This record gives sequence, structure tokens and C-alpha cells, in this order.
Amino acid sequence: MTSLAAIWRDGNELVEREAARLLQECAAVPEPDRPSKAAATTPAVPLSANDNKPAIAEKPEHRARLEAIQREHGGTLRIGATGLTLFGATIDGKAGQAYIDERGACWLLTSRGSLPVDETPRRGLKATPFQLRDTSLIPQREWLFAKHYQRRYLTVTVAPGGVGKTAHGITESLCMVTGRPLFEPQTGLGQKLKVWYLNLEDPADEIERGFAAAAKHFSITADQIDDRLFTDSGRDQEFVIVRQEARDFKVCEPMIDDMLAVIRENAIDVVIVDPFVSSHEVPENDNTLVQRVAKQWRRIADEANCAIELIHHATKGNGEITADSTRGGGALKDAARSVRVINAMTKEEAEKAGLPDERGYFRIDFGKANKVPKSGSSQWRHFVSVPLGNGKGLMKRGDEVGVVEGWRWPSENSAVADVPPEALEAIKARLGAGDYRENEQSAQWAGYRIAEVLGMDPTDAVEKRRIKLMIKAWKAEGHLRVEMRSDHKGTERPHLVPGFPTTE
Amino acid sequence: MSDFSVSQLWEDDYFLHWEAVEERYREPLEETKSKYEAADGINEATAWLRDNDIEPDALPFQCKLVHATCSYDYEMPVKDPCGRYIYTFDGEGERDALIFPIVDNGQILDVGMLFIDGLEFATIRQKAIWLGGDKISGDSVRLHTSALEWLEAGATGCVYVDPQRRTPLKRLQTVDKIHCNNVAWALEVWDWAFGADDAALERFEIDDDADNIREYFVAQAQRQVISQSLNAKHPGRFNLVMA
Repeated sequence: MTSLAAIWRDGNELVEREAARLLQECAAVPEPDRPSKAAATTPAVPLSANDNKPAIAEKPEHRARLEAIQREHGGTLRIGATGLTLFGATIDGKAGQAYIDERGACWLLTSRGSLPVDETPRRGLKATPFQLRDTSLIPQREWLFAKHYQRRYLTVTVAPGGVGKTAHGITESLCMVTGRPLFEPQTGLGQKLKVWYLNLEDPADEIERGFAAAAKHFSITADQIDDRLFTDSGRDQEFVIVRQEARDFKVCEPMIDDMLAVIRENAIDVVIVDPFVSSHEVPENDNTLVQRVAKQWRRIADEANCAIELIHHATKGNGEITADSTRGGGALKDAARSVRVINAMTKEEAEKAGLPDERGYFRIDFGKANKVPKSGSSQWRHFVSVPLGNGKGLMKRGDEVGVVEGWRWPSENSAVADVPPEALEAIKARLGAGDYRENEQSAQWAGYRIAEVLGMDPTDAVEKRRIKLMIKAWKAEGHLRVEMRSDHKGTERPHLVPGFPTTE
Repeated sequence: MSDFSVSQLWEDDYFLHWEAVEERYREPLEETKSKYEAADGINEATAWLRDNDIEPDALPFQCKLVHATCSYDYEMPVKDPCGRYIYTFDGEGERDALIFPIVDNGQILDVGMLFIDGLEFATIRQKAIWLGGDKISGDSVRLHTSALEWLEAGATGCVYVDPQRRTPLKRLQTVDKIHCNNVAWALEVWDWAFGADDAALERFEIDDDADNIREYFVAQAQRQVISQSLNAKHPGRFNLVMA
């Protein structure tokens, strides 16, 4: 009989000794030669078929690079004639074998020769989840001028030739530079902006004439312009953004870089390019190329944080100019945030407005205004001729330069706006003293009495039209009203009689 | 509750609760008793015991050698359909099981079956935890390792027969000296019954063979080395308990 305590004590000592002995034994036994993991995954270098040639060794750094290409472009990795080669890779649509030469350059061996392989890993796409925020947190659109110029966006103005798009651009530039509302109905002119006006067709002195005439017309001084206006001519410097080289079209990166640098250096807010066609060398009808040009302008707008306005020609034709009338491909219109169109006044419109001549008037409409409520009425402009007074000598009058100013379509109220109240009272007294017909065809037309009072010529179509507008306006205001009276034959006919409007 | 408990002193409320629950699914004791009493095979049992150097007259109970068959009662009319094993004893087939009543606290609470072919032991009601449980008291007790050994010793001492639980081993705390002829079993009992308390080692008296004892500890050392080596080679891969 033995106590379990003694057995346990002796047993534990025995366990310790035995364990130590066994561990020593284990340490003494050498590890069996097993193939390592790395060797197991690496394919064995195949023996050369020809004993005279040494077996091709694989470089591990090449394997990592080729595996990266394999992930992007597929293929299988095998030892080829020159070492580890990626067979069956398709890079940029070209199938071939990718390999790395002695100098470490990666090539794709295709049936048309070896091409260098771009090893930069492709950046994956990502979908950004939309989060609905409080609207007060959303930054406001940075409208710069006329609900057209917007910071970091491309805008286009389309106009037929000879309408006055260049002069309009000049006046708009002065508007933005001086901060003065030179066109009356302009809105959104909160600050003075820095403008770079690029005329790619006219020489510098012609640009100077344009600005000088406009300044003279609007009484703009050099102090008002300060250092905010920059003008350059395409004849002195090249502003070609996409150039043709042999059969290919290349983006002029140096020119874009220079432009970005200039815009940033001078903190320019708006760049006006007139005309768009001179800023590139691509065929206008090729939408893909035009889109490429537009993309570059948009990139400038975005990177330089400015608005880019491109003035573009419209197609030939007598029809109404719309955003779709841009000459060449429609890609430019599609790339722009806002497209304005300029239409010359038609003869009918001039007659309606009571103008003697339609020439020199044009209107501006938003042909494609994304995200701006449509405005009902067009903005009208008037071309005026301004003498520069730069003639030398008594007989030379100097240059006359066209300047664009704002013009308002004459409303009915504006037709009677400059009629003094005494004249109106005289007209009402005159019409109340007799029976005067409403019908203009009648010899007893009330318009003739009005013309007498105001000293107008009713035989002149324009004057007659103005009298008609006056009658219409006074009828609306209640100063005149229509009454059915019997004429000398006893027939009931509408006559104009004076009315007495109440404030109610 | 005391009717069901064989070692109330060492068994907690949790144990007793589940004893009561299981009691509902056991064969009723009266049935078991009557089955035992109805069985014949006393002479066969006596012959077999004598063949195995066991004196049948020295045993305090009557052994019977029967043919035992086991079936499963799927239609047991109890609330929860769990079923139970039904043993039937007859003399028709080859007599293969030595059956005898198990007494604890002076009461028969189960019938034990020693299958003579492989010397496996089972009970009909799965109620008995000890054979010779009444002997676990006083100064000393002999702790046997198997039912056959216990029968060979004339049903003196005790043997633990519960196949699943170890907690009832704590009943051994009531005796001062525990004699055992197997060091491995003694150490396991020490662990379970006394929480591996070093002081409790003194309670055990071992009359095992010195070679057996050495063999046991050498095996422990080997197990320890294997565990260490495996852990060194594959850290954390195997959840090996150090010996």
C-alpha cells in the first residue's frame, strides 16, 4: 500500500524528467527533408531541351510585375523564350505576349511588333451614394452676370454674322468690369468682375476701338475699368486649344497650362472667346472632336474657377436662330450650361414696334438654359454708331464704331408715356365735342383728331401705328371708351368718347 | 425526494431536480423488481460465478443469468414523447446477462446487468450511481474499478457505475481512507471528488503495480511533450490541454 501523495510526488518528478528527456530526443532528430511551401508553389524551371543551353531562370521581381498585368489584362504566365512571359494578354485591344526585357522595360509583343506596356494600375469606378441634405447646406450657384455667365461652367452665345455679337460682347465685358448696368434689365450684377476678352479674329487696335467707343458712349472712365479688363488678339498670340497634327488631333497642353496660369495669376472671373471657331483646328462637323474641344474649355473653367463664354457662329439661313442653329456639330451646345442666341429684328417686328428701320436692332434669347426659368420676353439690344473723334485734320471725321446698348420693346404704356396730361385733356375735349369713329378706316377716325392735337402725321405708317397704340393704351386706362352712336345714316357704329377713369 | 436520492448529502438541488425529472421516464421500480423476481437462471448464475472464481454464497444478493433483450418503447404514455429502453429477461436465448438487484440506503433501487460476453455493465433503470453505495461510510472503503472486480471481492467496497456524471463521486468525502488498485482511476477520483486538493491525496492508499504506476506517468510525460511540440509548431492551431 502506498499513499497516493507519495505516488503523485514521485510521479510528477518522473513526468518532468521524462518530458525533458523526450524533448531532448526530439531536438536531436533532424527535420525530414520536405519541399518548402515556396518551392511547392513556384513551378519548376523546365529543363532545357538542348543541353548546350542553360535553363532560363525566372526573376521574382518580374513575376510580381507580370502578375499585376495579368490581373488587369488576363493571360497565362509561362517561361518563354526570353524568360517569364505573360501569354495571351490583351492590352488596349491588342493581343500578344507581355515580357520584361533586360533593362526592366515591359513590352507587349504583338503581330505588329513590340509596344510598351503602361503598367499603371487601372483606377476602379465607384458609385457615390446620394445623401439628401438640408437645402440650406447646398452651395448657391455662382451666377456671375446676366443669369448666363456662371463660374466653373462653359456658356455659348450663338449669332449670325454681322448682327453685332462682337460689340455686344464688348459692352457686356464693360458691364462686368465696371459693375454698371449698361443694359437696363440686367440682373445679378452684384460685383465688379475681372474679364479677359479674347478676340481671335480682329487685330488689337480694332479691339481697342470697340472698347473705346463703348466707353465713350456709356461715359466710362479709366478709373471705372481699373485693372479688371484684359484684352488680347488672336493675331498676336495663339489660342488654339486642339491642334491638328498630321491625321491626329492633339490637345495643346502647354497652351492650356499657360492659360490656367494666366487666369489664376490675374484672378480672372470671366473669359470671353470670340469666336469659338478660331480656338481650335478640328472639323466643325465632327461632333466627337468638337466635344473634345468643348471638354478642354470646360476643364479650364473648372480648374481655373472662372466662367468661359464662347461666341459661336450660327448656320446660314433666314430662319429663327435657336440653340440648334450652331454651326457644325451640336456637341458644343450640349457641353454648355447656358446657350444664348442672337436674332436680328425682322421687318414685321420693326413695324410692330413702330420703328422706321429694323436694322441695328437684335434680341437675345436663352436658347438652352438649363436650370433657369424661361423668361417670357426677349432682351432687346440696339446698335448705335459712336464717332471716336480720332480724325486728324479738319476734313477727316475719324472712325465710327458700333456700340450695343439696351433697348426696350415699346409697350402700350410707353406709347403714351411722353404725352403730357394737358395734351390728353385737350384730346378728350376735342373727342367729346363731336362724333369720332373708332374704326381707322373711317374718315371720321378719332386718330386724326389726336394727330392734330399732338402735331403728328397720320399718313406716315409709323406715326399712325403709334397713334393706334395710344388709343389702345388710353382705352385700357379708361381715358377713352367706346360708345355706340348712330351715324348720319342712322346706323349704330362704335364711336370713341372721353372717359373719366376712377382710381377704384 | 429522499426516495430517489442515493447520496443526498453530496448532491445539490440542481442534481436532485433533474433526478426527479428523470424518474418520471424510468421504468417503475415495481416493474423492475417483478421482472427480476420473475426471471429464472439462478443455477446458471451460480455456475458462471463459480467458473469465474466468485463465491455466489458470499454475495449479499441473488444473481440470475438470463437472456436479456432490449427494445425501445415508443408509445410510452407520458407527456413528453421520449420513450425508454425496455429490457426483458427470459431463458429462451443464450443466457448472456448476469442480473442482480442494486441496493442503496438499504433499498433496492435498480437492477444491474453484467453482460458476460464483454463484461459490460448497465442498469435497467439508469438510476444506480454506485454499486455498494452503502459501503461508502466509516473509516475506509475499497474503490473498485469495475463491476466484475467488485463481484470478485464479494461485493465489498464500492464501484462507480454512472457513465455520464462525475459529481456524485463527492460521496467519497465521507470516508477517511480510500483503497484503490488503479492509480489512474484514483487520481481521477481525487480530481473530481476532492477538487485535486493536495491534502486529500493522503486519503488514498494505492496498491497498484509499480510498473503500472510508472507506465501511467510516462504516458503523461509523452502526452505533455506531444502537446508542447504541436503548440510550438502550429501555435494556436490545436486546443491542447497541457498534461
